[in-house]
Amino acid sequence: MTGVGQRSLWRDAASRLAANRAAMAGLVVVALFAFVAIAAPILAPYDPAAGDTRNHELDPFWGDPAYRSAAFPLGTDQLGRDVLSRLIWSARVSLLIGFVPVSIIVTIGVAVGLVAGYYGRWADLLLMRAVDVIYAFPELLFVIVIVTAARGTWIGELGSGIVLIFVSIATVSWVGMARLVRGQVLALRGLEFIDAARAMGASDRRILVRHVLPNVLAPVIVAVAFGVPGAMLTESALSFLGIGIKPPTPSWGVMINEGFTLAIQSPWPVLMPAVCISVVMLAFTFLGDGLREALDPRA
Amino acid sequence: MSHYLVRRLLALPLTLLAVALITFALAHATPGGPWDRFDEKPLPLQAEINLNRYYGLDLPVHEQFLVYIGNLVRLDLGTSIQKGRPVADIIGEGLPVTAQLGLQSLLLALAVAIPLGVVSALRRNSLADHATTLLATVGTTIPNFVLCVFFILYFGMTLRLLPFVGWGDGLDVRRMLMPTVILALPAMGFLTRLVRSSVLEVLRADFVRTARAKGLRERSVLRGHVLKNAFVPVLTVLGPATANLVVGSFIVETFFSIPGVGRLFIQSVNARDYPVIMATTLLYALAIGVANLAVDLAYGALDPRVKVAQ
Repeated sequence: MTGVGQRSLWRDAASRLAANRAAMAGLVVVALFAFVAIAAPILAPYDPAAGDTRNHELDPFWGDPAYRSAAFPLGTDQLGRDVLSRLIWSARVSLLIGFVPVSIIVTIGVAVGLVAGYYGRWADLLLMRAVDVIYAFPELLFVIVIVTAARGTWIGELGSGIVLIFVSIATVSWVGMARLVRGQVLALRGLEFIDAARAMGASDRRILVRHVLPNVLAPVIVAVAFGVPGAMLTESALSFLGIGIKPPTPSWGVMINEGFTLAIQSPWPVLMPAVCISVVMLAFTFLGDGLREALDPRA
Repeated sequence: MSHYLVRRLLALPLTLLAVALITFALAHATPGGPWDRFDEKPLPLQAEINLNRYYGLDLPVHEQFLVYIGNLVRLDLGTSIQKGRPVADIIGEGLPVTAQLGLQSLLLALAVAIPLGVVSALRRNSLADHATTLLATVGTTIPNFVLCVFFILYFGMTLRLLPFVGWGDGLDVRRMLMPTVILALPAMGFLTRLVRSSVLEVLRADFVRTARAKGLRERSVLRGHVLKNAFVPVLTVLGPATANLVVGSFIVETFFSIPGVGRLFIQSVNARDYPVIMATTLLYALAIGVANLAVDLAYGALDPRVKVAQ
């Protein structure tokens, strides 16, 4: 019974999403971004970290004919590194930052939220106190404090600092997911179909997995659609501030940080990562808004 | 209500204590101290010992924390390791700048968002509505530091229209224009969407239909019934909006070299200047806590149903 009902619910949502042009455009851009990120080693023409100072600060192909080269279609930065290759490899960093911490957040947040919401008592109490403390801060501030503390340790060195960013974002953000799931579970707990399942002798475990979990999935999906770009944004802000990804590994935030002081004479190495961030963020927002409308038509 | 108020007032110092404990623990649990110089000659051992004694870093960690809290209660925030001056003085210099920047931005955001949101809701699905919604989405989505790049490169460097370094005396409108607008844009977008949806919701309410049915003029319905009720949700997000302005101020102040608390925080983070990091972090937690508390109180005063529920 539940199987048939669920499928049609998801199918309805999918058709609503497909009818939303902005969301579909967002989906196409996100897919393209993911493809570029995964295929970076094949797509990028040069090593993103290796430069040749003889070719530094070249304009892109639409720039001044005296200062451009067909070999570097988007030009080069102040160290002569190919901007196109750096943009492509940065997409890879962003994709990792978008998905690894969010996977951790979903796993921990959903588990804790289910337990706290369903069983209540001390698990709930602990969760809500953690919520109080974490919500006393903007997330980015907390992440900055954690990153600052751990940058000098071995974990700060792993993967040019990327692992520390995973850990910091996950440490701060699982709480919000757990709170979201807890609220959903509390609302579901009093409904008839849960009572009915219990009356028919279903175990707590079965009720949680078969009846509660499927019903909290929709808001979790929407939260993920906004959590992924949120994590990417945190990384680029950290990298721009000089405490994120360690150069020479490229990321869009690192590119803005490195290029900004020279932006008067050579603006392109700064403008292009800024445009990439904007486009990807907008795509995720349109997709997220579309998902929210599709999954919860009342809102 | 009074019981609720007392609980909220007690929760604020407890939250601040937890925040202080976490920041302090993080600062001291990890290797590397303020004397580490990656690019310079290391300090002589005796100098390091003397410095540690001067700043109280030779005590056991839990004693350091107790000393810190004891000083904090007396509003002594310690001495900046990077600048060698009292932290309270340094923050005292930056706070007026950051407060002015934040308030200006918030007021600008409200001044634009409220009329746009209301018009957009009243002319639902018109071209103006779609354009407003799109602009609001773009405003909330494009990150602050990307906006800084676009604005500085275009208005500052290409057109040479506006200065983009420093803050001046707080009266220089041209100098303050770009940072204020950039900091305001995300809040503006978010508030516009919120005002629009909350006006739409109130327009559907029974009491609005009743007001119209009894023959009130549309203008009176709007002013007396719709707008008054539509602003309650706007009020509730002013707490989170404060939090967002705080984060925005890190970026905007750093980009525009504005001598405020946000830039101070980022500088202290890069230098691992823990007395300053602790003080700014606590200041932010306090500002956000007070904003949330004020919002809750105002909310209770505006909406009688909240009192009953509490």
